[in-house]
Amino acid sequence: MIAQVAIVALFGASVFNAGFDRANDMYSKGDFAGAVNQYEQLVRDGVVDASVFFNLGNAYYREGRLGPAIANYERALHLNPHFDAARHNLEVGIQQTERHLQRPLPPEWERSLLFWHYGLSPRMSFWTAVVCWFLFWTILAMRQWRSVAFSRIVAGVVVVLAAAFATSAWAKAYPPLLAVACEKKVPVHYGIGDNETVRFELYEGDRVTVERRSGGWDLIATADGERGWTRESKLALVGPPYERPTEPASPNLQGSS
Amino acid sequence: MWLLSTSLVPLLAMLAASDPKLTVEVDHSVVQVGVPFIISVHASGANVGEPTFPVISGLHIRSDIAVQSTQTSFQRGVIQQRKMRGFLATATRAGTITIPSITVQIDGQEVHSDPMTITASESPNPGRPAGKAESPTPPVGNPGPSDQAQNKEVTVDDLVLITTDVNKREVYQGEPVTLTLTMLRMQSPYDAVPNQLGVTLPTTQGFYAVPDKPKEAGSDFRVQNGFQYETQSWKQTLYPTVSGKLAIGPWLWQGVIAVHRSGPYTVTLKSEPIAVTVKPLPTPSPDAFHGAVGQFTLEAKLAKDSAMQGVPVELTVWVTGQGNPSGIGTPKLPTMNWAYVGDAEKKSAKNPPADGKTVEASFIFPLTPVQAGQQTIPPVEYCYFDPETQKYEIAKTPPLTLNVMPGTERDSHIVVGAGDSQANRINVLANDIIPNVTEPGTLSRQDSMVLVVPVLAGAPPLAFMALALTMRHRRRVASDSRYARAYHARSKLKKRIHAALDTAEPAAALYKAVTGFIADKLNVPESGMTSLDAKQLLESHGVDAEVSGALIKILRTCERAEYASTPLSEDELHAMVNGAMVNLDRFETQVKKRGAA
Repeated sequence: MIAQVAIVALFGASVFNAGFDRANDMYSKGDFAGAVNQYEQLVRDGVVDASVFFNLGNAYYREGRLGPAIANYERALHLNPHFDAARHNLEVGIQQTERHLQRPLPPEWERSLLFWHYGLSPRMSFWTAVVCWFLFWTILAMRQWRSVAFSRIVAGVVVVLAAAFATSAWAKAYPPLLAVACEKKVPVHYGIGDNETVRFELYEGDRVTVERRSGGWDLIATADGERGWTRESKLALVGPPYERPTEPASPNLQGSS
Repeated sequence: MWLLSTSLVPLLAMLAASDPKLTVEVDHSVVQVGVPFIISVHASGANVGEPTFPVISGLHIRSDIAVQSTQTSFQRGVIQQRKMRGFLATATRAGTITIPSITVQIDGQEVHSDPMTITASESPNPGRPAGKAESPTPPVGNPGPSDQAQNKEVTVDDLVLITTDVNKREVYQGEPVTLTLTMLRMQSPYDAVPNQLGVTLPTTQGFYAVPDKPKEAGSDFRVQNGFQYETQSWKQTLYPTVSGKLAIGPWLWQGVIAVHRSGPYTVTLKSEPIAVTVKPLPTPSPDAFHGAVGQFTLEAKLAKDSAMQGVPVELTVWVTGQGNPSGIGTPKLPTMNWAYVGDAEKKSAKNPPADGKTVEASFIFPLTPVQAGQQTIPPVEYCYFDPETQKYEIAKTPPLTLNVMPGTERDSHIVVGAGDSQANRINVLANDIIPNVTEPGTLSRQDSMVLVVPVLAGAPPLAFMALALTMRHRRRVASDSRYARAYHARSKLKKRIHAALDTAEPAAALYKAVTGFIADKLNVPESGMTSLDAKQLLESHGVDAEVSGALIKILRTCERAEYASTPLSEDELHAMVNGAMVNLDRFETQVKKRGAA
């Protein structure tokens, strides 16, 4: 790890691009498991890029793991809401799920307040907020030299924009934790523990919101408001954080040919 | 007042309302058995209902209204209605027939008409020529000197005429024929108003008709048989589906004609049938011909100029023009070894397009490139028969280019199977995922924002504060001379001390530096300050006696050296400079302390 950090420090981003190309090469040769490992390594190294998650989703898809594939397409779309290819592949994935469950929506207050920010990437929101913040202080600084017409109003507008984009960036950095069911059938219990009564079942690819995590169990909620506890290992987290989903005991091969 | 007005208004309205009236009339008191006539019911009142007829022996009355009118007026604050309803009736036997009281609800009351009798005689059953009214033809009157008929007597037959016509009587199979139905209505002074009771459209067996029923095509004026008519036309396009002699049947129209100062008259009109000769298309026809007859143009467009290898792109081909919509087959795309072409989806315009075109069909082909590079779609061709040139013609599109970018999917994952000739079995791409990204840009580690955010958030206000303080200081230096002298005193002192060490008269220079510093710090005039002045100044500002004494001693030494013409040695000068610097520092500190206090 230390050696890798040193290499990155020395050679910059080319190490990650080389890893990416290697993963693509494995993918094109049909070594989807190898490609998954290589892409996941990039993610572990801190590379947060829509292209990496998109390709990782494709690799999982080809490996027949629909849940992690959908989770990674969701990640790619979270980072780049205009990534049409990811949207297409996500739709293809959802079409193959049992119930085509709707994606859980953010809270009502967030949808009302931040209706405008869903087309923005987290990076765009963050840097727009930074630019507005710097612009606000620049306008104040200019007023130290000379009085400029409407500068007070402009400064007020700019600081409001800075606050709005900062809120957007915050909402994107800490979104509701989304997860995707990774096994054919995932039982959801009334309480923590396998002995608890099963309340309902999730099917592979179903997207849910994780409300609480406790001792390897997640309290999840579906888009239609159903709630219950299920094992963390049976879900792929969309994140952030970008955790690697648990390997299934016996992979369900589908979609590959 | 309110009570008075609310009770008076209905009362006044009741008084103002005229008595309900109901009368029943027939257009002929003597009718013929089987020949329709009109029974008119006239009713007036504030709120007039619809008349109801009892069963009448020897008379059949149709329940639907043949002619009607309603007049509404506002009289003395009350709405008044005058309604006329005309019903078509037919005597079923000869003899005297009594029409009993007819009941109508007027202003909430049942009002009854007076009974009346009519006489029915046996019908002579005369034959009528086609296209003319079949009812009796009583003379309507003399049109008067202004009429174009020049004193020709007008009959019921002349009031309304109907005709049918086609634009071509000899066509090729599939060639459009326009059928026009025209109704002519005699104008002033008769102003014939036809009310349709029943109609039978011309039969068009052997034709494909668009639209299903003739569509209204506007009105015009025409002079026929010396009379002025207003014409109303309906059009329909007919496409012969078989060759040979085809017939378009007659148009039958039954109704009542209301005429100014006369009538109404019940008539049955009939147009002449039309024969159309349909020629078969020349043989042999080209293989690419699928039945399109007319004039067509072809256009093709790709949904995108570039596509990824293995990712379908839509190629749309539009066929537009004048011709038979049912004969528009799917254009055949040229062979392209670099792509797989799926089945086309046909979309036809729901309504006939504008600018005279009758056909607007689009064919959407899913085209999946299997080879990367700059690819060309050769011209798409469409074969049709043009009745004007009497030849089979071919419409062509210009060639299109598509830039196909290489995908990272293996061959076995990118292409749709087109047949046994292709080595790889293929996934259906329309339902498959889009291939990997190959050029992600520069990938880099996303560092934690824990430190970046506070720095980015804190840096601008800190910089602003520094700037604000600097600006405030500069403004004070510019406006406050005491502050400015005190602020610049030290740098001035340093310069003067430095100069004293190099000058020929160091004692005078050192003296000036020390008094200048004291004057700047205490904001007093510097020129002419003696050591005694300095001593008094320092004491008055509470400077420590030790500091004050040391500085005064330095000043007096400088005075002596200057006026006694005994120059200071270098060591003495350095010692005095050091002593001056130390004591001036202490002086400054004490002055600051006093100022702060």
